[in-house]
Amino acid sequence: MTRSNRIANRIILMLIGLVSLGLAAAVALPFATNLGVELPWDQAELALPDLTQPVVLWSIVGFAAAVLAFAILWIVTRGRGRTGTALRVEGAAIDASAVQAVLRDRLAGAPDVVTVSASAHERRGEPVVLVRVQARSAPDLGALRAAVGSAVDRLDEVVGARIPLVVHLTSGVRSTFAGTKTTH
Amino acid sequence: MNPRTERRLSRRMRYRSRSVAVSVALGVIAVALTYIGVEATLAALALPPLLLSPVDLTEALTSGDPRALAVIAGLVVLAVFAIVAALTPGGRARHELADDRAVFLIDDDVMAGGISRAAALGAGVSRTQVTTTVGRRRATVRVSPSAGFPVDAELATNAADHAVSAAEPLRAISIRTAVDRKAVLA
Repeated sequence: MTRSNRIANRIILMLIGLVSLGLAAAVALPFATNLGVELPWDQAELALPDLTQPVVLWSIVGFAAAVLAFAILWIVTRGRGRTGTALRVEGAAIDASAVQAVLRDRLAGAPDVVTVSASAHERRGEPVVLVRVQARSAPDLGALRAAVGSAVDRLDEVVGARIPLVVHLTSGVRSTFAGTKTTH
Repeated sequence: MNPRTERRLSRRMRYRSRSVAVSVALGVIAVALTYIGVEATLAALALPPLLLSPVDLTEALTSGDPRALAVIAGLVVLAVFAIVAALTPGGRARHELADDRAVFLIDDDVMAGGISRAAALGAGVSRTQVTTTVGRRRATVRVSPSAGFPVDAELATNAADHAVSAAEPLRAISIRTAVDRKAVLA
């Protein structure tokens, strides 16, 4: 639910992969000639720039600094997009914790629900609320589904608007230790 | 939410992001380039190198020095890691449920627990005698019968089917029940 662009992630990975493969092939070239493999070109043609020239050395420093700056910027800007506000209406804002409180209250009696949490995330300027419903280890799927559905209906009634929701029925450490509720 | 946003959110929840892989790969590159940058700076200022000057480094890498094999291995590992991460779908074990109000997702282990519970009730065995594996399009239920009490696989399948349809998955999941030949003392 973060804001990171997933296509960009894959493009960067592909570029890193292809460049690394290319560099590996370049470093492996002398071994190919040592092993008696005939290369279709003359190795002398692949001459490297003169590394004793200050211009060349400073260019390398500049390139390394630019890639380093990009890498640091990329790494520290990941995982953004989380916000506290679930809904903004004229002059008022509803917090994600209010959404969580309503859903928790409504699902407190549901036998298959261990806990509920809600967090708001910014998606293209609009908040979306991710609701995580932690279920017991062997839930009654129909009852769980109906209980969560009615809790969402109740939320809509309380708020008076439809907050964009992503509901995730999940498990966790507490699901494992909670055991099965046999009496309803 | 418009249907396009819903589809996008559902997809984001069902597939793993590659952010961590990108950060790891960029981190490795950043460390390597920091070293190269420092060596180049020292060489440009005519100071002694930390380990190898750029000239010696390229000499070692282009002359077939056996130490270059370590560099090749490192680059190939990075390349394979990056290309595999870029091309594999990275799906999570989750199913989307049909709902017109919200994007509804269920983890496959929750679904499997629910199917096991229903199948156990249908087959008349305890919950611990049933294990379920949920895949993309099918779920396999394994039932260990109690000694002396044969299990009707069809009853277990019907009960599991009923539980799955109550959850309303967007993509149908077919149930296959296998009854163990060995019974347990329950």
